[in-house]
Amino acid sequence: MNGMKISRLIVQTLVVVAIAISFVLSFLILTNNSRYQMQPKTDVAEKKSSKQNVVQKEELYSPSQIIWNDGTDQRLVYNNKHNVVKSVQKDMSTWKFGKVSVLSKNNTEKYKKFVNSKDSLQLFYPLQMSVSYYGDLLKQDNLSKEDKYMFNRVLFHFDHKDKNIYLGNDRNHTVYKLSVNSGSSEEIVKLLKNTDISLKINLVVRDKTVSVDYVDHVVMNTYSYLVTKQEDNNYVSNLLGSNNISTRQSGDTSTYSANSYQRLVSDSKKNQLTYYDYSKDDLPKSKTEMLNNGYKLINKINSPLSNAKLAYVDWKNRVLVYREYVEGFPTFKKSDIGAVKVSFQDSGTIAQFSNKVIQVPIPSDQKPVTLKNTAEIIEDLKNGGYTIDKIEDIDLGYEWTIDKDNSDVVDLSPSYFIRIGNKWSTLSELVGVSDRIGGS
Amino acid sequence: MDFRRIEMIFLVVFIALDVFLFTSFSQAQSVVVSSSKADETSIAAEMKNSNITTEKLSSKDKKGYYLAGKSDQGMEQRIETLKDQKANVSNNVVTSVLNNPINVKGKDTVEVLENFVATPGNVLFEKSYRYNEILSNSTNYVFSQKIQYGQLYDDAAQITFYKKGNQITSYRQTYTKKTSVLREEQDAISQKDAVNYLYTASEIPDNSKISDAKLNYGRLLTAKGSAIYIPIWYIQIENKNTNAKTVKLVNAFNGTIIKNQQKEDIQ
Repeated sequence: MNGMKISRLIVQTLVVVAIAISFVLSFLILTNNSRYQMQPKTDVAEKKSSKQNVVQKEELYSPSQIIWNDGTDQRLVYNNKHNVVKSVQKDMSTWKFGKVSVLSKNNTEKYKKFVNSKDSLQLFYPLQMSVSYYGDLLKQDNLSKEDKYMFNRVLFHFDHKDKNIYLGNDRNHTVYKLSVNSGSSEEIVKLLKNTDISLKINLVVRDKTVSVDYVDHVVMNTYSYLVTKQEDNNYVSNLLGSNNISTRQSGDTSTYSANSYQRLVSDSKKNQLTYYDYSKDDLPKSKTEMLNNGYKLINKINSPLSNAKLAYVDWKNRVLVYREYVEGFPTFKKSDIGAVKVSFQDSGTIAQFSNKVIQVPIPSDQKPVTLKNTAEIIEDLKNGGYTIDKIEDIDLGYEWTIDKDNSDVVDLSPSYFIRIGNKWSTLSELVGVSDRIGGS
Repeated sequence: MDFRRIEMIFLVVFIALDVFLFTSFSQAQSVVVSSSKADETSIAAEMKNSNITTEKLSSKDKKGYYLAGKSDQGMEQRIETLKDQKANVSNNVVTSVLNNPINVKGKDTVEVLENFVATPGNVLFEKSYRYNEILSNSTNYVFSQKIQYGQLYDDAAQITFYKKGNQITSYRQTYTKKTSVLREEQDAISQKDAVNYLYTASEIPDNSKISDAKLNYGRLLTAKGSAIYIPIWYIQIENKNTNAKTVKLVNAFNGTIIKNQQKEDIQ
């Protein structure tokens, strides 16, 4: 009798559990938006069968500057035949890192000594990242738990006795030490000795930032590239899939929709596209997720970008701006929004990008350009009515202008770019004065 | 009513429902793209089924540059140093007829020509060329110009010897002066990837053999009076039945098949 009661109890329990499971699964299916996505999610970086246009995460979030202190001067270095940043990063990924410790916190004087360390190499990142994310980029699993230390500057000495690397946070002037259990900077030193772009600079520590001041006049080459324009079909297929796409035309604008959650708007006059994704599947909850989502989206867009990397981050408004880099310097004025701008909003994700991409370099007709030094640029800005506190950033880069004789060719001309009111402008746009020596 | 029976029916039905719901839920989630290894294995299997054979192909990724080169404008003056031939220059191309045709009957033609090229006074820039089997055939023997970064496979950078019967009677020579690097080194695809791209583009016929696959610099286009060179995989495909050979070109930067190399100048 008791046995029968127990077996009946078991059956009843199993029925209740089965009913509960069916409720849970039904709820999950009904609230899962992935059925609105017309194509399976893929991690494009793992799709090695096609290497076309795949951007690796470590390249997208690689340093934007390499600074070498040779014991006498501080120099911004690059090599026009060899991607020095990539080589340094590749070399460092073979090192074995240990523990992180705090050396100095919120100490401006010590930070000034740090950024001006002699016989050292610095890698500057345009974003604050955690040590754990840095470990992810360098494929170092042992750093995965170090997520509370934020930095944007990596420094190591060429002194073989000091086997540590140092991480600096420009925003709060904090320095960390990251021990290195094995690794050598010998290959990196060899690379540095072969750099052919070497600009003398001063690193100036300011409140929440460190600026790069070019001490001498800067001589830079002009480059020309063939420009290709990607057709809307490529982006529609990559972002919305190929099933049941509706199209609406209004003047210069074409709107493509896959469903009520995703659409792509193409402006043929501006050569810009905007992708809206309100499916809320992947909204980032942390900085790391923002960076990872940005990386996935860049690869989903699958535009043949040339040396694209993250150039600017606004964590507060959850915006990432990526630019294409040439000879180690960012390109500007390709469009209103850089190469790709990604915004994460509460309602969803918006990606804006240009459909024009530089592809094949061609010989330039133009001679190298000599630009003023930073002090002269600041003087011109002051004379034009801008005070130092209004200047958010000054960067050296390439201005994108379409060749007047051939619309398939773009000229990249060296120029200073000044950020004021969160907008980048050239010196001549701000104060009507050229940033070139000789004024031409 | 047997309550126990009803409970059992409920249990069976809801278990079946749970299985169905779980399957539906799983299918709505991410689909994992087959790994690169599986893709490559399936391509290799398909090629085998199509009786397409290759030597062992390298999977090592390569690197290369965008280069610019211009034809030597001084060939007119240089031909005065040539001996025992009548040479003239037109549009930077040397065309020469040998006073004494080279007899290659019973000899290794390539070896004979290599000695000829190496002898000063026979051709211009004699140390700059190497025999190119891929671009050669039974009547045209091509020597391609060597540069710091590899060889240039381009008719603006080669010597072509013409064979009539058992004799080499004349040749045509071009020389590219001073190749310059246009931007930093880029990643390039492996030999295996190049062959796979060709296969998936249906460019390798059934019953073929990949007899050679070399990476060198070829012309992508012409711009502002300069040839723009990029690393290109030259894949030689031999028909197993007829032994006829064709050469296919794969852009080593992006894996696209190059059908017509652009000669028109982009200004």
